[in-house]
Formats: sequence, structure tokens, C-alpha cells
Amino acid sequence: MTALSTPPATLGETSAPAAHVRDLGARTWVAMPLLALSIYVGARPVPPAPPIGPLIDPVHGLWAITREPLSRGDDEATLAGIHTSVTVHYDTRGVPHITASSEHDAYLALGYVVARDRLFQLELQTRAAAGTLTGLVGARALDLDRRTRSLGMPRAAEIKLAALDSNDAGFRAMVAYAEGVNAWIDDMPASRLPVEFRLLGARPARWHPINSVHLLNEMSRTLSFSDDELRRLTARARVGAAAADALFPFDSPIQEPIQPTGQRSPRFALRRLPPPGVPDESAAELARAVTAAAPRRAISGGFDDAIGSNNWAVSPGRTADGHALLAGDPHLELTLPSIWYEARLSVPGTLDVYGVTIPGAPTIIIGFNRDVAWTFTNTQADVVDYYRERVDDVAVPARYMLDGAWQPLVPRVERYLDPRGRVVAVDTVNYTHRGPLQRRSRGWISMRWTLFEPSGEHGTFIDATHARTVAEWLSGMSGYVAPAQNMLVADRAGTIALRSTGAFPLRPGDGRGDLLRDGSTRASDWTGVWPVATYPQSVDPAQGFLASANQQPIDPAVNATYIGADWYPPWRAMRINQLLRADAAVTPLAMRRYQTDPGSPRADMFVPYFLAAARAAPTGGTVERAARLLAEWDRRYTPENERAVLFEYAMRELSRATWDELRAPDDQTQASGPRPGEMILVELLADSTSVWWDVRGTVEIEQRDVVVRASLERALERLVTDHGEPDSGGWLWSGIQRVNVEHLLGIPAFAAPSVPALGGPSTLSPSSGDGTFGASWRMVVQLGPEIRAWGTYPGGQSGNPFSSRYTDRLATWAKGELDELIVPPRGAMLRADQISSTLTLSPAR
Amino acid sequence: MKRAVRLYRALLLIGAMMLATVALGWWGVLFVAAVYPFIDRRWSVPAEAGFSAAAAWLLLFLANVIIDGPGIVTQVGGAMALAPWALPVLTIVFPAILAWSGAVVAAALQRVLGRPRHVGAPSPAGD
Repeated sequence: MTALSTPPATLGETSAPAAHVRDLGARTWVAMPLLALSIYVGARPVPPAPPIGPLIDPVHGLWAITREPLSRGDDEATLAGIHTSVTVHYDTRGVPHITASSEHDAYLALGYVVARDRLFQLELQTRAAAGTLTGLVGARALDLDRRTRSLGMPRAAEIKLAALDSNDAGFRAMVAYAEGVNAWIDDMPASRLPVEFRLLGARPARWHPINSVHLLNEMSRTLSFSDDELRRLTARARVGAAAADALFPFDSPIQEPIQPTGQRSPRFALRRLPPPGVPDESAAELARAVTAAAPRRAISGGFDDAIGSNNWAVSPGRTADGHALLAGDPHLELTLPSIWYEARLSVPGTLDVYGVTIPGAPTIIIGFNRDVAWTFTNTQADVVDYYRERVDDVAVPARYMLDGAWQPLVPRVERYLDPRGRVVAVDTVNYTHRGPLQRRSRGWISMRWTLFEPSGEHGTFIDATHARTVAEWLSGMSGYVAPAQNMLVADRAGTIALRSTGAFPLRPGDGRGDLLRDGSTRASDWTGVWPVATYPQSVDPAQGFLASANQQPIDPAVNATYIGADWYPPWRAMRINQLLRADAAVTPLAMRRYQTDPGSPRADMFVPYFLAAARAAPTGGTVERAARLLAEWDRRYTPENERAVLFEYAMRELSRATWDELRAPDDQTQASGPRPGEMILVELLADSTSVWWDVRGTVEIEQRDVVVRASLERALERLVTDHGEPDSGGWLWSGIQRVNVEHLLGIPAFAAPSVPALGGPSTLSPSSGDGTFGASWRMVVQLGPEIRAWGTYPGGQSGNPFSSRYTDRLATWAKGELDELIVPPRGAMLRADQISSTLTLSPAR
Repeated sequence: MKRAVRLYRALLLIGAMMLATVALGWWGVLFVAAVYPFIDRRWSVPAEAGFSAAAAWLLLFLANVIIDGPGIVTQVGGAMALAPWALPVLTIVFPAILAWSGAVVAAALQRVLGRPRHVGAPSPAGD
């Protein structure tokens, strides 16, 4: 008899041997499968759950993720790649000030500190751009990866990297940065593995210089991948070519261009819209052909102005202190962690630059050095074209027709691997000399995009950070290709300049890039790109300021050369110019306030039409009540106002009722129809008897005021249904429009939902729709004898959701306030009270 | 006296589980549970292992909550799309099952391997 076969009723007691054996046997049989199951779920992922064991381990797992305090304490590390010691002082805002004796060491240290704070973001963004998300999350990302690779993005990155000279400043910076990221991956304590990796049961991959190229490619996809071709084709399919061209014109009907023309108010170039024509069946077929390559925005016609950006600069002659001022706020998707990371790089005698970088970029993207400040908005240029190709075999093409002869397609095999390295899928993407070939509907379409051109954007950013004047800065940026940006720059000498910079294709014939071209001839190919000297640009204009907000760069009355057609409505541009024209002594504080100004030229434009329509036929009842309520609005999207929501409802109803001709015959929601911009609505409102006002499906022939009144009436009815009576509190703008800052993986617990918005659609701090886009970084710089700057972004420096630095800037951002950036005087160090901790990086011996 | 010894032994086992978790992660629990029956051959050893593993992880979990604040429970649970109580319960139940079943199987293995057994004698701990 053994102790093992002695089942005690209590600890240490014994009982009958036969029962012991029986009980032991049963217990063992129960325990064995339980043990196997425990080990299995402990060690193996059960998708979508990661392995449970390491995840809930209270010492190394989720519970033990390091909570970084505001001051993380001094630290040191030994790095193999650096040549001499690098000091990284974290200031009281959590910004690393990197001081190195060489630029190589500075870029390496930047990689190290960014990886320290944002390692998962580095991994995820790169994989998204490289089409390797399946390697992180498995087959559920296959569709995303396929789309990325079918656009030719990984190949484009390889071509760009291969084209760089090993002495190129950008190349060297990318290599140094990669060393820094990998040094952190090697040094990282287990407790610092980001929570997202733990949740996915994954480990960070090694960082390669090409990842920095992938990153900019992803920015290009976000900012420059538009296809007016599709929108226009879909419209042609519904209402014919003439009407479609009028509904989606190249030129803005309201001209408030980026490049000053001397005008002091917008130029209205309103035309009478031609009536809807006969549907164009061939256009319908082509539209189906390119649909899969198009972003959702273009297909649905939905429009989110909150993705646009603002920048403006004021000459010393119009500022209170006599120093140039510059402001910028790029509007992008708001995520946690933020797209931006704030840092300063200092190499005595060579470089001293402060600003924001995108994790993965080896230098500062937007910011300032001791002499020059700069910021960007997106140019909206048309840099993507589509070509209808003739192939030898529609099912499995190997050649394509070009100038009467078959040319071989260049195949590229794309393998998609899961986290364990197993092949999930294999595709072949074929390339013509223009770019990737895609099967769409019954045909084949190839695509050309400036992204595919060899270029070295990181090198241009690095050149620009060394500039001492606006001229040097513009020169440094001359080689920049994609994504095309409206680059605003100012210097301490008081010069301001704004240039739309990027590769703008020169096209044959009429130069239009808005329609599908014939791919069977080289005569359809781009013939080159615009010379830099012809880029839209201004230096020190007479008006004393420059501004851009994604509107058309040049008034076509000045220069009608085709550069694009996807312009944002000029509402934000109009407001910026209104504010700057009215202020001859601009202060940094005013610049900061302007960034969240709640005024709305859009409301100023449309509200009078609603009020006039209601007055034109006083019927009493709901329409009059709605008009009275709307008239109470000051047309400002302040959080406490209770009328903006009525206007938004009315605009939605008006758009729905007006563009019913573009709706698919079987669609009652207008989800399938391209929707013209609000500038076209302005054109239409000026024509009260246009046939476009007639509502399909009614016997009556409606005219403008009838439709506008009905829209207002329906708006009030729906609003009361949705949010209650006007003064019940449900109409408060702060309760209606909220900002939602989502986590990169969409994990709700790591997001910052429902932050009250400071603006509305098309205000300077725009917020619309689900509130996931907005001002991703706000910066104001005063270029005096010593630079002063203010800035913030909606998030924090740390990518660790459990860190106090994860969202510590969100409250400031939500109030529309900026922090003064901690920039020591030229040649000086940070004061002790400005330093929260120090990281010392020493070279390995 | 008997109670004191039992308490002493339980604390020792909990400490061993904690140290093993620090050193080996979650496998540490299994390691201690598997070794324990070779040291002490009482029938109740698996139950003690399970209880000690649960207690060890509960204490380690509570240490995290004390350091990070109770908000961590909601946040971590939210990250897993689970109710706030679910992950703490899992954190206690998982090591308990792992240790109990590991100890039972180890004890059976020990018997199969035919190690010498002491019959009805007090355990080395003097129980």
C-alpha cells in the first residue's frame, strides 16, 4: 500500500486500499485529457485567441505589461552600430531630444527610441504597405494583402530601394535607422514586448531599410490614390457624357486657389448644368472594369472632408511681432497610437531639427530647424492612370499588344505566408511596362502610378532638414516625387513660399488623366513629368500670406493645364483666407485659434437658400418652424450650439433628393451612385428651374424651392425622431458629432472613443461622419531670432496602452489648445527642469 | 502543530509556484506540479498543487492590480473582448487545472515507473 493509493478524506488520512486504486484510476483518466487540453490551449493559438499560457501569465503576460510613468527613469544601453555615445533627453512632454556626434548615430538613435515607444506600430504599418499582414495575423488578412500586392506596392518599394545610391543620404539614414530598430528588438526586456504582439502571439520581425520605403508608399496610397476615372465613368453610365463631365468637372466652380491671384474673394465660375442624357452603356461596362481597383470613397461618392489638411504662413509685414509665422495641421485618420511621433535630432554644427516623424521614417517629416519651418497638405493631383489592355489569352495572359506587336508580360509570383511560415496563397501579378495588370470584369486593365517611379523621398526630407533658407529648402525638395504635397515653408529672414511638389505626369493629346486610355499603343503613355519650375508656386506674395487646404492649386483662368480633378471644396480655404485677410497683425495665439475656428463658409453659402425657400411659400407648419430654428443658428460649429445638426440633416436630405438621377435604377438609398461635390450643388442652386431639381418617380415637375423646402421639412422631422425636440438637449453639437480615435488593431479597450468635436464638416478643424478623421498634428511656428513653436496631436508618445503617455495629449488636443514645444535656445542644452529622464546609448567595445 | 505544518507546506508550495512562474513562465506551474508528487506521495498532493498554483497566480495578479490600479482589469479584459471578470477567473482557474492535472498524471507516472513507495507513512513534511 502506498501513499499514492491512499485517498484521504482530509490531508494525511488514509482509507480502504481497493477504493484507493479505483479512485486513483478514475482521477488519472480525468486528469490526462485535462492536462492535454491545458497544455494545448496554453501553448497553441486557438484562432483568433493566442496561446493562453503566456498571455495570462501574471509575471510575463498581459497583467504585467510595464506601465511607463511620466518619467521613466534614466536608462542606458550599449549599441553595436553607433560610433560615439548618444544622449537622449526625454523632455517633460515625453519628446526625445537626441544629441549625437554624427548624423548616422542620430538616425540610428531615432530608430531605437521610436522602436522603444512604437514597436508594434512599426510592424503593422510596414506589413500593411508590404502586403505581409498574413504573416502577423494569418489568413484573415489575405484580402488586404492581395489588394496591396495587386497594386504593385511591394515591387515599387523594391525598385525604389534598388535605385538608390549607397551614398544617398536617405539610403544611409534608412540603414542606420534599421540598425537602431533592430538594436531595440535585440535589447528589449520581455516585459516591454508590446501588448498587441502578446494578443496575437507574435514576435516583432527584423527591421529592414526597405520598410522605410514601404511606409512612404502607404502614405501615397492614402493620399494620392484616387481614380476620377471610375466616378466619371459611373456617372456617364447613368446620365451620359455631357452631364457627367459637368457634374464632375476638372475645375472648381468656386475658385479660391492656392496660388494667389490678387482677388480678395472667391471667383464664382458657375455654369448651367446640362440635363441628364442617355445612359452610356459602354461607360457602364468600363466602370465595372475598374471598380475593384477603386477606393470606396470614389465608388460610393461619399466624401469625408475631415481627411483634408490645412497650412498657412504669414509674412512678417502682417504679424504683430514682425516675424514670419507658419501653421499646419494635416488631417488624417486618427489612431492610437498616433501616426506621428515627436522628436528632435541634434548634431552640433550640422543638424538641429525638431518636429514629427512617422514611425518608420528615418527623419523629421513636418517641423522646423533653427532657420526654417515647413508643413504639408495633400495636392490631390491626378497621378494614377488606367489603360485598357489587349492580351493574348483572356484567361491566362502571357503577352500584351503594344504598337502592333506582342510584348511579354513580366510575371511576379506573390506568396502569402502565415505567422508560422506556411503558404496561405500564391498569386501571379503580371506587369506591363506601365505597371500591374489586373483582370476586371471581362477585360484587363493596367495601371500607371507615380508611386512606381524610382525616387528617394527620404533623401529629400533629409536635405530639407539642413536648409537655412526657403530657397535651400525648396531646392532640397525638388527631387520629391510622391505623394504630391502642397509644401509650405517659411524662414527667419521672413520669406514664405508654397509649392505644390511631386511628379505630375505629362500626358499626350489633351493631357487629361480622367478617362481610361488605350493600352495598345505607346502613344497613350506619359511623356514625362512637369519640370520643377512649372510647379504651382508662390514666394512672398503681395497679399502677405499663403494658404492651402487641398483646393485647386491654380485658377484655370491663369493656367488651365490639367493637374487633377479631385479637388476638395474650397470652404476651408475660404475661411482661412477670410481670417488672414481680416487680420493685419497676426499673433501666434491667433494662428492657434484659427486652427479650430468654428466658422463655416459652407453654412454661409447654403443656409440662405433654405431660409429663402421657406420664405418664398409660407405654408406654416413644419417648414416654417424648421426655417425659424435654422435662422437662430450663428453658422458656427461650436460644441454648445443646438442648430448645426439641423443644417447637416437638411444638407443630407437635399443631396439625396437632388442627385436621384445618379442612383442605380434598383437602389433607393443612393449608396450606389456617385455624388457630385457641394460646389456643383451651388451651381444648381443658382438655376432654380433646372431639370435636375425634378424628382424621379413623382408626377409633378419639381423646381428648386420645392425640393429645398421639402428637404428642410424632412430634416426637422427626422431630427426630432432621432434626437428629440429642439431644446431638449439632444441637438447639442457636442453630443452629435464626436471624434473617435481608434486603436490600430481596432481593439475598443485601447481606443479613445467619443471625444467631443471642435468643428463640423468643412470647418478648419473638420469632423464629420464617424469622426475617425481629423487634425492629426497641429503646429504653429514663430520664426523670430529664436524659434518658438507650439504643437500637439491626439494621442501620446507611447504606443503602450497601459502607459500614461498613451493618450496624455488627447485632452489638450480636444480643447483646441497646443503645448509650447520645448526648444532650447540655439546652441544651448535643455534645462534640468525640462528633462524628465535620460537615455544614454554607448557604442559596444 | 499539524495545522501549522500544513500552512507552512502550503506557503512553501505557493512560493515555489511563484518562483517557478518568474523563472519559467506558465510552464513553471506545470514543472512544480509534476515534481511535487515525486517529493511527496500523499493522495492529496494534486489538490494541493492545484490550490497552490491558483493562489500563487492570484497573488501575482493582485500585485499587478495594486501596482497598476483596478482599471487594468477592465482594460486587459477589454483588449481580449471579454467581460472584466472573465480574465481574472481564467488567471486563477487555468493554473489550478494545469497543476492539478499535471500532478495527477505525474503521480500516476511515478507509480508506473515503479518508484519505491512508503506505505501509510507520514509524508516527508511530517504530516
